[in-house]
Amino acid sequence: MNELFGFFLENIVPRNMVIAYFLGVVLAIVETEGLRTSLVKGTKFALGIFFAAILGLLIADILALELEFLIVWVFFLSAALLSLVLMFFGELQGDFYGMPRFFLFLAPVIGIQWILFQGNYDFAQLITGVFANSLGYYLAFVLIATIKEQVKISEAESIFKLVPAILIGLGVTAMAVQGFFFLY
Amino acid sequence: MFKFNNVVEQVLLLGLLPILGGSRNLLTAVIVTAVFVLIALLSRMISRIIKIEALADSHWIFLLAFGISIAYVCYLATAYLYPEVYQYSGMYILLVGVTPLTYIGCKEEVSFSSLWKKINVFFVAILLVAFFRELIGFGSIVGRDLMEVGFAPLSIFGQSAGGFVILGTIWILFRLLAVLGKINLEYFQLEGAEMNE
Repeated sequence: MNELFGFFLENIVPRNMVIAYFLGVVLAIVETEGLRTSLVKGTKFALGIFFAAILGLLIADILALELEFLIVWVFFLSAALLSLVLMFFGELQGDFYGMPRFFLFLAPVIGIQWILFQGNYDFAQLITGVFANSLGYYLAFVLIATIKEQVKISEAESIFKLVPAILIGLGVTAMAVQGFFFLY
Repeated sequence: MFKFNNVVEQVLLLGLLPILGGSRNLLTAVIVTAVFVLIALLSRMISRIIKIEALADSHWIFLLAFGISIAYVCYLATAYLYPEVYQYSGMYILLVGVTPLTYIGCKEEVSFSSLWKKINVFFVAILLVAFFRELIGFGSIVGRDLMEVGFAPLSIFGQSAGGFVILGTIWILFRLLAVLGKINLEYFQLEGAEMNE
């Protein structure tokens, strides 16, 4: 298997940003409604993560060594900028439990930028990693939307509804996914 | 249908990332909580000093920039003081700086006692998850091995899967106890502006 292609697959499934690193779980739980709507919404968030991560990592790449301490702010500002763009397109509006929803977009973007930055990858690997993680996020987003829809219509007791059931579902998925680690 | 809309659900949802990521073991949980408390209290103090009306909605960006700077300092301090915590959970210490729960005390309508209650709920939740993850996933408590030679822990519980399953189970147990009336939900009531539909 080509090394870059292996890296691409690894970032989609075994090292999926939601399943392996918990990044963007809250965003997916809060923003998903039905499966159909989440197909479009997921694309917007995945593209947001893609462009924010590319922007932040490219700026971080050209920063001089003495200015490396600024990287966290670069990542934060790129995430904040893309969350503003998403708000412009009608996403992340309003509050969730009293806090603005745009907060939810920052952690997954900064987290994935940090993981890729710490990996000391070359340019091709960075682009591949960002693309694979965005794709992986989209898959996880749709998976969470599916679990949420099924849990909502199920006849289970109310104590099992929504978030706890989604978390346990993701846990079982993570167990299955981590079985693929032997490939890498 | 029973409505679950209380402080525990709010804390678990808004602080889901540090709870899951920072619960690899008990030491990590304590460090993540310490960083969370430090940023929460400092950002609350800053929000009371600055004129929020002058900054309008952009005050969140200002507070976030301040919070992530403190988180970065804590991240570097952890790398120096606790390299094993930094190696596996360093990123989550940094991400405490962009967790919504950290800034809930910056809202004017949130009283200090309410913030303190949320901090306590967060601490108990992360400790519970960390205790079971470390016990089942690594067979130890605070780094002290409990299993005899020859017994292998369920290492999958030390990974992300364990975080999801254990937190989900604790969440269901809390709801079950609430439905059975063993927990007084009035104590965990949300204030008006924090309600979620």
